[in-house]
Amino acid sequence: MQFLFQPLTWGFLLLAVPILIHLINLLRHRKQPWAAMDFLLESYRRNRRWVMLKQWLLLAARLLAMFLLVAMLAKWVSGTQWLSWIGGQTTQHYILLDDSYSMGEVDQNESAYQRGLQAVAGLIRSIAGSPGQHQITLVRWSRAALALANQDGDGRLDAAADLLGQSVSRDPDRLLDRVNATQPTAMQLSPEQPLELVAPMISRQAEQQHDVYLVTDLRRNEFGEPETLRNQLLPLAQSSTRLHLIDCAQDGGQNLSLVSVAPEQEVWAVGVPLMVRFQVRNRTAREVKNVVVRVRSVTYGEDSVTPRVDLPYSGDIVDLPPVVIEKISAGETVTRRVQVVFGVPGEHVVETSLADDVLDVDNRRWCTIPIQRSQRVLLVDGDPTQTSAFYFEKVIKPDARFSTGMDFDKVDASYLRDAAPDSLKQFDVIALLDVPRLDPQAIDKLEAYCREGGGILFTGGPQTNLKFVNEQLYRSGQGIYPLPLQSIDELPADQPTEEPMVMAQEHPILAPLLQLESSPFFMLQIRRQFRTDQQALADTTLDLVATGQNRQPLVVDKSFGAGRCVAVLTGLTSEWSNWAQDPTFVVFAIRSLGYLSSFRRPATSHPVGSPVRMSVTGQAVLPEAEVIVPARGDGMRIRLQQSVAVDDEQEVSRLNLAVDIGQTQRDVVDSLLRAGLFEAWMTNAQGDYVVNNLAHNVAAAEGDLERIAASDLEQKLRGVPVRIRAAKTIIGQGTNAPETVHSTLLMALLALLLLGEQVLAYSASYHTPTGAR
Amino acid sequence: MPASKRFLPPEAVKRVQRLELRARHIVEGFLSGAHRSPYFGQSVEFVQHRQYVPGDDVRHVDWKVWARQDRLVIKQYEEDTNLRCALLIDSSESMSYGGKGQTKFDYACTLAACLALLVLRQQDAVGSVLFDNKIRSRVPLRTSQRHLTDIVVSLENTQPAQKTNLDSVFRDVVQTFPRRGLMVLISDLLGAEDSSLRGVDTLRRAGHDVMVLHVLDDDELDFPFADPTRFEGLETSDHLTCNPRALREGYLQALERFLDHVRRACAASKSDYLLVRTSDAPDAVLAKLLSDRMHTVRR
Repeated sequence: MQFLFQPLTWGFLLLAVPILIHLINLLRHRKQPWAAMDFLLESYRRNRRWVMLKQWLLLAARLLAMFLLVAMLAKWVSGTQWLSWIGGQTTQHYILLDDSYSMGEVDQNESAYQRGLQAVAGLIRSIAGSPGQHQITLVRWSRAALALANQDGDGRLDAAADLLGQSVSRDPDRLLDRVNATQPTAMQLSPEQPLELVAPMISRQAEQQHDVYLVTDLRRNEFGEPETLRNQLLPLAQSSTRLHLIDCAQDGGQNLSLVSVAPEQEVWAVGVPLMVRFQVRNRTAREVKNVVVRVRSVTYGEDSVTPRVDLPYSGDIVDLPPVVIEKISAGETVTRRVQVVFGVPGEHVVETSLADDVLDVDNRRWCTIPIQRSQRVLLVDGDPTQTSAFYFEKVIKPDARFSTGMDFDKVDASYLRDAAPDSLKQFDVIALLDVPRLDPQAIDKLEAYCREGGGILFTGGPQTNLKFVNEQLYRSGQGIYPLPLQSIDELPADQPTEEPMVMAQEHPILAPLLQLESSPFFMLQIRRQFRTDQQALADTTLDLVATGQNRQPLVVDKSFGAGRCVAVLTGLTSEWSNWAQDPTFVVFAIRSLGYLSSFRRPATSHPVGSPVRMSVTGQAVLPEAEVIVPARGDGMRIRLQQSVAVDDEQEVSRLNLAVDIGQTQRDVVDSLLRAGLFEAWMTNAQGDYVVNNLAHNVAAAEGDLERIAASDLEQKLRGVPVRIRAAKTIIGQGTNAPETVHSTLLMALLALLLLGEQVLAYSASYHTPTGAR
Repeated sequence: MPASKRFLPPEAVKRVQRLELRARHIVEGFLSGAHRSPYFGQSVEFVQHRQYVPGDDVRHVDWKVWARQDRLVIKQYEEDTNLRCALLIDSSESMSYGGKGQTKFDYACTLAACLALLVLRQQDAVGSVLFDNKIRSRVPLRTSQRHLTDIVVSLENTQPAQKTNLDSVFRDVVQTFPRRGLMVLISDLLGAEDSSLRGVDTLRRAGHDVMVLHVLDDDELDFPFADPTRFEGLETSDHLTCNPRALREGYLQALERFLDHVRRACAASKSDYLLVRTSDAPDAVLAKLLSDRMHTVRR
């Protein structure tokens, strides 16, 4: 039994009033001496049963009238109990609410998510107005995704649902109090996850009727290729589950998105200019002009910043000159680079932002850039003259005034054999320059190093042993060398050519050289070049950086574990090439070393909802740490206290703040699902702060507001009966009509009852006759 | 307030003086008066002729018959005698009920006093008997004007109590008043219906002219009670807590059956019967009673 105005149900205490009056009347009487008792007793004997019956009927009528009056005032909305008494069937309603960030699209000062909430309220009212027993389960897509990721078994739905098997109420504001306070998350979500969550429940309750409502914005990126969705919906439809799609969005959203921001794979060192690349996508149907991208760098100098929740960032903010993009055609993605320089080591941040539009969430992006004092390069030269190492040394340290941000250690191959396994981790890149042979221990160390993200650069030369390379380093594709070597091609020297011998390919290492109007490789002569197996080039993990004579691979790049290996299939000595004397070698050396060093770096950004992790090695920290999470809108950021787990053996202190909807507090979950910069702070034994920044960015695809037409979707969901409705047809539904009908029925019942009560009372002579006292 | 004022309000006295109580049936008295006597005597009402016998008063010879028929006959006339009126007043506890300040007993006393005054004004004899289940007070029949005081004092000194038993009481009354006369019973007849009616019949069979003034309170006749009430019997230990409105109709039906039964019984015994409400003015009641009675006598 449900009531719209619950507080008024206290009025049911008034039911005691007729009973009390009845009892009081029994006790409250006056004494009357009476002579004609015989006639009175005779009348009593004759009428006793009828009088008693009338009194009980009258009392019952008054009780019922009081009940109906209070029920009418309190807006009695449900007859479910009545139906359950006679064995009525229960209908389970599963409302799956899309809270992906595209639901934040604002149209006419109202977001799709707000329309979705209103539609949910309308749905519940409508359900409440329909006969039968109803139970409602409401799940937000984000919670379903988290539950599937973190929870096991039957507890998943319990943890994910905002409402679980809730008896229907005609007071959606009360029922939806918790949900109404929510906002769309910054996550990219799909309907498959919530459907996967509720499908087992539906199959277990096969005897009941089920209705599944997908309250969403029908974006093409979610519903454009709905094969998976169709496969999920088909069994539900076959089990008599009614499927509903509630469309909350409006057509015509114009959105500009920042789809990426990331530092180039270069040397990230103090004082070294660093290019940060960002992309802006025009998702509108028309060309936009003069798009302004604001760029800010935030410096978190070691030992110089403290956590501040009252500021957007705890670091020092520097507004860089905005980047103006003259025009972006419809559907076009434009890439721009901006140069930043950080003067101190630390975990720095670059923020890019666009002006507000219909969807704000994808207008800002962040990336973190861990800046080192310098990057260390290990130069291992196999030539006793160390000619190749000399060339790299001159590139890395041209003179004392100019810094490339790199330091080098020059060793011979025996170093790799003798070095401790972990000692290689101190180097960002290892360059193996014309190394003839390596001990198996050295190869194992190198493979372990590369597997963990390290970068290895190979160059050839006269010392290079093809057999060793193929058998020990390449090992049929299992080793660290990118490809097998067949032979050494002797190329004719100083042949005049119309086009350069070497051509750069689309690869980050030589990408800047591709932007030049003319090739910088005209002066480059390759005299000897390793020939490779053409079949090896079919390896999809192999990237071509540059080609040499006859477009044979000259520089190749291949992944190994988390790291990368770049091989130059020629030598740097004059017998092999003149590249070391060519200006392009400087570009190649610096960028390849920077490129190879980038894979052992932590990610510069993470998807929304990723855990916030931090580890500190080699120093003691206090057991309490804190995480500052981004604010919603322009509000103050939130500080979360977290415990630090200490591994004494490895002298590592770890902080881990992951989204677990079964354990984490509800408001904390909400804050962890935002986009922005998360600052993790620890305090070491000296009282100094140690900070680790994590940028959480939205998935770019969710910002595509293109919608799929209902007819198109119906066609794609062929065989699955889905009722597609616009949210506006549901908003406000059931607010008045059923209540009015209910109230009118109650009022009519009450009027009839009062009329009956009057007739009964009159019949029982309960009205004072004329002259009575 | 003196008893004469209490039971004989001046207004009533003024109106009663203009009334006349006539015996409807033959009554026996010592004096000549306005009432028929079982004895023939001097009167204006001719009854019959009889043969003259020596010794008869020659004043009664009908000379007109002798002149026409030449025989001596004596004219005989109906003798008028004085009225002997006994007022039988019920003083049982049920008579103590009075809804508006005046009890039925007070009202009955007023009626009795007025009747006594009326009878004495007519030079007739009047006496009174107050009774419940036995005779409580008796005032003999007298014609003296001062006798009214005796009757009123007797009424004043009696308080309603005990149950009613008219049958046994009236057997005593019959023995007390052996000569035929007018018996005026003023009672509510409640408590023992059969006994009451048997008592009336006893009086009637003894040759008395019986008048029954059935005194009931307005409450008893209308039963106007509305609020929950506990009714406690005056002559019984019965009690009943009820909503009186729910029982009113049944009560009135039972009362009407009772009244109808009493009326029929009185009619059967050729007794006069009048239902009197305590709200009625006593003089008006007497006027109506005597008017009806005169009408019956003349017929």
